[in-house]
Amino acid sequence: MKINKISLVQAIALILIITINRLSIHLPQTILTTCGSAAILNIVFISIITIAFVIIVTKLFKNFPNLDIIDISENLGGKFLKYLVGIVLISYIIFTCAILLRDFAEILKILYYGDTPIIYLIAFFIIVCIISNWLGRKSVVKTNLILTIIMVVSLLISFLAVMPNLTIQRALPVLGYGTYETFISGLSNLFTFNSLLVIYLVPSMLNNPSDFKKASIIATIIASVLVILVTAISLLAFSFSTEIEKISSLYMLLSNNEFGKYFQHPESLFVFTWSLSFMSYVNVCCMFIVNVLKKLTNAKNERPFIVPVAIIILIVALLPKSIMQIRDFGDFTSIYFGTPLTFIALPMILILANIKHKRLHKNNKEDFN
Amino acid sequence: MSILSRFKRIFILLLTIAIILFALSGVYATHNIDKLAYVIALGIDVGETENIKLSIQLSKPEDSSSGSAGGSSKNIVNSIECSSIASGIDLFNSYLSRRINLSHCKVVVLSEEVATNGISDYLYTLLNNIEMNAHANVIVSKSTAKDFLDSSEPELEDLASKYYETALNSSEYNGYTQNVTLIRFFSDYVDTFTEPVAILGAVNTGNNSSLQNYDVNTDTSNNTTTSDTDTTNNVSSSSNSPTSNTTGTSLESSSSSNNSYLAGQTPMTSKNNIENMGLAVFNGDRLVGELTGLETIYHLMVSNELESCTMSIPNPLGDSEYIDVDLRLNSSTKNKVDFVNGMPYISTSLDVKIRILSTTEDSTKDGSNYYSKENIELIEQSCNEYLKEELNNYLYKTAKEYKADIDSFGKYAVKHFITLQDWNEYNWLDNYENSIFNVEVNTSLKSGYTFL
Repeated sequence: MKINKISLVQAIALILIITINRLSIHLPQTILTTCGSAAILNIVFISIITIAFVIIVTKLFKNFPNLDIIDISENLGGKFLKYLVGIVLISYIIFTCAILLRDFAEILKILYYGDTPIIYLIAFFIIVCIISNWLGRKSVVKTNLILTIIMVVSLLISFLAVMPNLTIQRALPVLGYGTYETFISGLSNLFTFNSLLVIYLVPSMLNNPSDFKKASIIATIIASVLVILVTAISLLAFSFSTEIEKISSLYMLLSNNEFGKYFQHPESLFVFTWSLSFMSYVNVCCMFIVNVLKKLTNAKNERPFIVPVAIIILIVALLPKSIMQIRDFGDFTSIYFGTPLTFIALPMILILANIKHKRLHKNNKEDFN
Repeated sequence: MSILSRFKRIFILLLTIAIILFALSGVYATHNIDKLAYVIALGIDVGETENIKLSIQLSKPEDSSSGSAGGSSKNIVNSIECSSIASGIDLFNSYLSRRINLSHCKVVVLSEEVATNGISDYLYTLLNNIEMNAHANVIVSKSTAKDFLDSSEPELEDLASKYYETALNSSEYNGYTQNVTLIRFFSDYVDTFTEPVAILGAVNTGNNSSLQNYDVNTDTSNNTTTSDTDTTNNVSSSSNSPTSNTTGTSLESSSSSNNSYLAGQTPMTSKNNIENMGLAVFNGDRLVGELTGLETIYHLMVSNELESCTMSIPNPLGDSEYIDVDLRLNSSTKNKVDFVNGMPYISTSLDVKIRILSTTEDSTKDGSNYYSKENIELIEQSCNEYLKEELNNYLYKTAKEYKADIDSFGKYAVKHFITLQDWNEYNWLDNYENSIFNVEVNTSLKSGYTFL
């Protein structure tokens, strides 16, 4: 079965793609709107908390090598907890993936395909998702690795290109809307890293269980650096970054940035790389969902789940009426469901599972003595 | 198994072909160049019967088979009275039977009247348009926008779009105006640190009354002018020379001891043609004043954006009244804002380097050589004093007369505030008028050019 296992670098790419894709949509805008000039300070604070959190989570997984949150839930609460956690995770990943896909498709429609029905644009990603998942986990993981590197390079080039036009003073006043708003209310920006939810599903996929800690921490650090960089350029480039909602703050930034006299519209190239990485994002989401479904149903083959999952994503993506509704849905689910799930509910299961594990271990020792 | 594998391959192949066909087909159903009309300049005037009078300048590419190597284009300017920009463009679509496309728009021209009434709505509307070129220059025209577009007849360029692209290049070496783009203007407008400026443009009719006076005056002074003919443009070689004396209301309102020009008032003989000179100063989205070419140089010096310029400074050696110098910033201008009793105390320190352009026979003699140690000090001191006085006048003009911080001093003041509430309560842009300025100039005379 090792043929379906993934390496350290592939695991890092899997975790990373889920987080950094949101940067090309409206993630930086949400941080800027809530924190104003203190957005960089806030996101550095949030990143530190997240890295610390991930270190704790990896420690909680230490007693369960090669087991993911579904297996651990089964150990802790039997089939009921297994199904409950599985269904919650599947629902959340389907909803988040569908909403982000629709959001990105709407951006593409506004920018380039004004007369194209939205279903065509979404279907394009869904077809890619079906084909790549049909070809197996290895194909999804390998292409994801390449596309994640392209996306990371694209984000770094964006940063370097915009850097000469930054006004550092836009990060002042240093505390933005105030201490409470930056550090207490601003904690809601933890939703930036909601997508780290996938680290609960990665352990069972790893070739080498000891890579889990490394993969999680390295991916979180890279994601944090990218989120900080994108937030910084979004804040420091233009005065209206904190004032006006945009379809994509990164696109707005790049399309309004001057890249010299020879490159007139390089933002199109960036949108192309984002499209590729979005395809990979949908593939990876589908792969995780199918993996969970396979575990819940004890099925031997995961292929029968691929098309139904893809169709469900397509249908959910078509439900919202407008881009405003998509963003309202997305923000509401992220803040009131995704963050508690990632940062409270699942760690609680891990803590309880560790307590149970210790007790069992203790009892076993006593019985042995 | 082999049948299944073969079927899979055929299925994937067919699917790939289908996707490629869908992706690459339908060229004639999309918006290709034959169905689009590219706007190269957009003008907005106050309408007589409707809210606005929208003017567009379109480029009509010549047929390449006609053999014209230059690819010249005819300029077409159309105007329409309409209630908004969007409805105006829609009416143009109907009239032209082509879809108007703003992605190659090079300039947005606003008449003085429109700019005085406020342009916020136009800015938001234009930048909300995904096609709009955010790097289009913003020009406030002293004549109507329609006249401005009608008069844009490039003499040295075949393509109007290229003309607009290169029209502002001269500002890089003379500093008489600034390259202000739509996105920059908008960012400055929304900003709490600064107020926006736009390029000041006008139609130069070539029969300015100032021209005759200018010629008479220059005859009596030592300044050189070229001969006045119908076919050549005649501009003074020292248009900002303090000795030159011109008339005209705008000029009279400029610095009493200096003579610089506003757009459209340069004493030049030419057919009606457009001229960009100076800057239009905004407070919020409303036009509140104008800067002459010389004041624009001071603005660029203070805001650290000057590349190079030519300036006439008083000659302390007396062999001529003024010395023309090529002036550049030696290092970045250092601005600092402190608060004294709640009022801004702004210090600006300029470090400039000059090279002498004008020279005289006396200046090559030993006793009065410009480059002797003593004379270098005298020239540097003269330049320091001259610039200090001029910069003070300019800064107090922006603060007291225009009440507009166009030099972005706000970004040096904001560090004194901890939260956005404090900053917004202080209201920097309103308090800028109470500013006190302290200007320091340090000049280094580097050399002349051929003669030392």
